[in-house]
Amino acid sequence: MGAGKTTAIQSLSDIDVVRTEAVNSDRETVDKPTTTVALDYGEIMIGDDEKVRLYGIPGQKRFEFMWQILKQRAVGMLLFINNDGPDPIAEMLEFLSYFEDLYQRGGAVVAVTRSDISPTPTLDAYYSALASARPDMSVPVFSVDARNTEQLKTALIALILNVETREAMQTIEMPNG
Amino acid sequence: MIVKLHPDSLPPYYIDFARREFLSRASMADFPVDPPFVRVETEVAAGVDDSEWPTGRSVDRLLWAIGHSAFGGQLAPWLVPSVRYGLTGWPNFTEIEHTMFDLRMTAQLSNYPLTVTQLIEVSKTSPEAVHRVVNAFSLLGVLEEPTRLVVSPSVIASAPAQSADSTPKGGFLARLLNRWGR
Repeated sequence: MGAGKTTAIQSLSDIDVVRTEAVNSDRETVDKPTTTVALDYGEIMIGDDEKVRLYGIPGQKRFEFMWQILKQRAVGMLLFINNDGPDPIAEMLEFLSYFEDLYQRGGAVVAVTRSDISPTPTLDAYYSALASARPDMSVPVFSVDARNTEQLKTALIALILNVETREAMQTIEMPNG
Repeated sequence: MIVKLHPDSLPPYYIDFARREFLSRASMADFPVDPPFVRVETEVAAGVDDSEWPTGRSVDRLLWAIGHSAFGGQLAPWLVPSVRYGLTGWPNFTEIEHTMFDLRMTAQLSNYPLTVTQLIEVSKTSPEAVHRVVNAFSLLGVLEEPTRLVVSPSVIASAPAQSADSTPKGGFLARLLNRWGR
């Protein structure tokens, strides 16, 4: 919560974002008046008949049913992590593990927000944790301001490139010895 | 340690590697592509208290620019064309100026380690363009000799071109980039 998903979708969307919010009853965790309680929806219009659908789903466990639905249908994931949270790296690893199927089928990018407020953990720390816990995963990690459209576009382009690159190339395991 | 760079006639660049920041009155747009000389001082800040220096810009921006412009398009002398390299992470492109070619090479090496020779073949572009981006990866400290995935020569030969031209041809990404004017 509070990582900037709603703001990010608003920054990227070509349509007015459909938002589902309620009063935030957990002001101690994140001090903001409202929070997403279902999902946010936006679109990037590519052409008359082609669009990118953006779904912003809450990170709280009670919305896991929604994660299940979207991870089956999505082609990739921008994972927003609040660097000012209690344990951002653990949160990243937990979500990447949960959405591993989506990663294998498509790809994932981690967008670290609020690093201007909380400079640590650094991006190097995120990569070290990934190398240690998930050496099988290749996940870009960027610092992102959820209000900065150009930064969000860069993250989305990186996600698509990662997906396309993995689709285009074949791999073989390195032989022993 | 503070390193002071004097590229040609520009104002100096002060690099604080501990904080991974740099300070300069010059902008990144002023950074020379091929300076006739660069003087480097590594002792200037001995005893200098930098605790009250203003917040600088990420040193990765400077290292990325140096990697692209140094060595005149040749591979950095500590890199070997026949050694397979991968990436330990992506440069933080949300804060570093980059091209689509930079992104494509990053996606390639972060997922499938290749030798520089193979990367030139996959990119189907000039060796100089590949050398510059690999040099930049190296200066950022994200280049590694991995022990995991390899790609067979037949796959490399049939791989789609990752052109140095920043405008990809066809496909969803091309349409998205066109929509965004990138």
